[in-house]
Amino acid sequence: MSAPETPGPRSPGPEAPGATTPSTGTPPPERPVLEIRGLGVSFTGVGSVLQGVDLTVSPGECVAVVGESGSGKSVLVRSVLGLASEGGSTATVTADTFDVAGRDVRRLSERGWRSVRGSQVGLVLQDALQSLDPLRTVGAEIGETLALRKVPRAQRRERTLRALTAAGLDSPELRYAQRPGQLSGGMRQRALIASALVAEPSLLVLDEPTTALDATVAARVLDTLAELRDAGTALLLVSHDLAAVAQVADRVVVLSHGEVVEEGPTALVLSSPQHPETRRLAAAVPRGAKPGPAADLGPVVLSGHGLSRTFSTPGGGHVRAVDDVDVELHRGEALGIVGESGSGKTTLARLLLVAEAPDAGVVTLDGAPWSAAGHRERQSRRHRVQLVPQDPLGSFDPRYTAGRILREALSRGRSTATPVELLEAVRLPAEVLGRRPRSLSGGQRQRLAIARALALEPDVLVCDEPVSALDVTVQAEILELVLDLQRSRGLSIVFVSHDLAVVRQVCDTVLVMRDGKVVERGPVEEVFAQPQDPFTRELLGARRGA
Amino acid sequence: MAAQGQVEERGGAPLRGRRRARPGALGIARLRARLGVLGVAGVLALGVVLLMAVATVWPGLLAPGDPDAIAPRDAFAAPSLAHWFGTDESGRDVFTRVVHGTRQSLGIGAAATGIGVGIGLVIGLLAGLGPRRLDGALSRVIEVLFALPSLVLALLLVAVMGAGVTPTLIAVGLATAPGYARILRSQVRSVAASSYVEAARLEGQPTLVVFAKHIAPNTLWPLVAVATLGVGQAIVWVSALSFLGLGALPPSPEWGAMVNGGRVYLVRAWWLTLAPGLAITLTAAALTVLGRRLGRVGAA
Repeated sequence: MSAPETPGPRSPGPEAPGATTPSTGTPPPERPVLEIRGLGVSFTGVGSVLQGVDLTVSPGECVAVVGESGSGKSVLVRSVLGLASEGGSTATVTADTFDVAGRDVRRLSERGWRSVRGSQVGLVLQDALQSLDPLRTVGAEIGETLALRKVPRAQRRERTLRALTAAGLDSPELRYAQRPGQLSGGMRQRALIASALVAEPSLLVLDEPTTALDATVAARVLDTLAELRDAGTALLLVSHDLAAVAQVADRVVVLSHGEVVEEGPTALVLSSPQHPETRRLAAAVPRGAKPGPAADLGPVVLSGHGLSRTFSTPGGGHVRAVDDVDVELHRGEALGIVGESGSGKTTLARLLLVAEAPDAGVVTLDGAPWSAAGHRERQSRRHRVQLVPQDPLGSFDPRYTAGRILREALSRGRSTATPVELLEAVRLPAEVLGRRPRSLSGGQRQRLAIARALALEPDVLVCDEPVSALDVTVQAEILELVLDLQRSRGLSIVFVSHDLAVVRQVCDTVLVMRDGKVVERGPVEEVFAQPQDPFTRELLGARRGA
Repeated sequence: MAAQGQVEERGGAPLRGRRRARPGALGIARLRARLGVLGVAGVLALGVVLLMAVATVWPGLLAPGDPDAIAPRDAFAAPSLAHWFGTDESGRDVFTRVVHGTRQSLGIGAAATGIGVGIGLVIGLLAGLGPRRLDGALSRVIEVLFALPSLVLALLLVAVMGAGVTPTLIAVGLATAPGYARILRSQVRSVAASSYVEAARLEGQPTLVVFAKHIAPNTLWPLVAVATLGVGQAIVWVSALSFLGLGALPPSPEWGAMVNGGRVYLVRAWWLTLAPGLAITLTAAALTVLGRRLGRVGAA
């Protein structure tokens, strides 16, 4: 109630096409949209999470906040939206200056904040699937923001369509009537951006907007963000991936343990990082070829011929997830399988594991039938081909401790190793044994999953997107571990990933998949130097731009 | 990020304490951690349930008298220090009868739930893990059982078997079975499709071992909570049937039968109905609170 009169719901500007340009009531360009000086946030029971953070974002500027998980970036995002206490525990927010769109928000009531959110600051979250109501059409979801601001019904549709266009969605009329389930991941992310844009906020906050997306899709979403920025919207981008944000950000703010450790123009921070934390983040970005000498290839261990797998879709149709694919994996070889989501790369990996039987074709292990073997015979050889899953937490029985998980795996293999030795092999401390996977960090969980796979002394390790859910720095550590293990144990590896740069760092050979077919294959460096297929070139381009 | 981590830990710590505790090595800190999981309401409910357990196993400890001893001269005495819950039309002590009735009421509730869970377990596991056709057939059976009005079923059984405890038990058991079957079917399906079960299969674990080590425990734990809720519900149902004169027969001190017996004298001696009614409510409420708490612990 005490909140001063706000500019209120803005009338849609008559200068239609550049819909994202804030019209009336915008602070003049030299005045920052977001100005924070000496921001401190602490939680009862946890202590201080942010200390003395300074942050300014001007109209038409994109500022990226980069840091590892736990560095406080999510808390910073929440504070900018007045949601710091939403995590369950009460937050104490202090600041010398805290202006959003020219308005001091330090003593703002919950009611006051609500008028700021949406109309002044829009938020785009990472998980587009969870942030959109599956039962409502995109149009209804986005229009709600306007309905709350008492925009007449007649204008809502028009403004929603305009926001959809601004967010880079093709055929907005169609998307307006669709539900989130009918959209692809990239489209959902765009729909979410549209819902944040529709009230024409002067500041857009994006929390890891591209982390869950394929490289090519992420590149296109980033292009859209650049357009929005050029149209005058201020962007605050939060990510753990320095390379991903470099494309659009004008300035980078590096956050570590709740403090700003480095700040500057993107190019400068990237080319000559000053602080060790920044250097760590920059070094963690996967780049370059697989280190060390070329692998000595032994005989073929695992091979598939004419593999096909078809799934029926709910509408009664069929999808050929894998379509007549041949694969050969030699002893000591690391084979990468690359493609966008839906290209069939995970299905191919599952066929090689015989987690799923192929509709056509055969998989052989050491020249003996593998997919065609009887159940009992196959179970007795299971230990030779092991999986490292994308989501390690889901692959652990929730009632089990790390020690019990490893002991159970050991009971199946011929290994004489102890659980502690396994933990040492993946560089985890022995005290992890008594803990449950839930209480481990993402990187630790993945190490535990690798340790479990090693317990069976496999010849082949099938890694299904093992690092896509991890921070860049943690990703670098896991990749290094996989490389070391491959060398020291002579493992053959099938490495599924949507990220070419990651595959290049780990693999000797690569398969590029699209729509269930292999469009290109060969030694990694050759494919990188001279991509033959246009799709491979697109994949490479997406990463290079980043 | 930090706030999230903290929430996770807060949920995790007492859980670890509870799981790790071994009987015999149960220190005070561990006991406290165990009780902490239940919360104040849960501990109170646990207390009530323990009291009921004592009344079941050793009713003489709480009420040393004979529940069927009549004393016509003391008939319809209001609650007093001598007779805490008063006396009934034959001068029997209502408190003694309520305490001694615990065994029957609680026993019938537990037995009925046992029948329900037993049938539900067989149907649910077969439907959840069996081939698709079996699943289809059993799901129809579940629906038919759902559609049967339990009171009519009870009347039918009473007509065939005569009034008494056994038909009531079977009727309530049959009435609750489809609920358990449905919960089990969906639970066992989601567990069997989980990636940790797949991980165990890909390790080469034999099917039976996977079932015993991963599927069964993760399926049955949520059922413990639901069944605890169910016992409270079953007691109410059994009492209702007894109240209608279909269940336990007088002079048995079953709570529902006592409520029925007191109905005639409701205006003159309200305590005849109130005391056993209160016992039913308290027991059902305690079991419900406990069941919900257990459910939350299981979910964590």
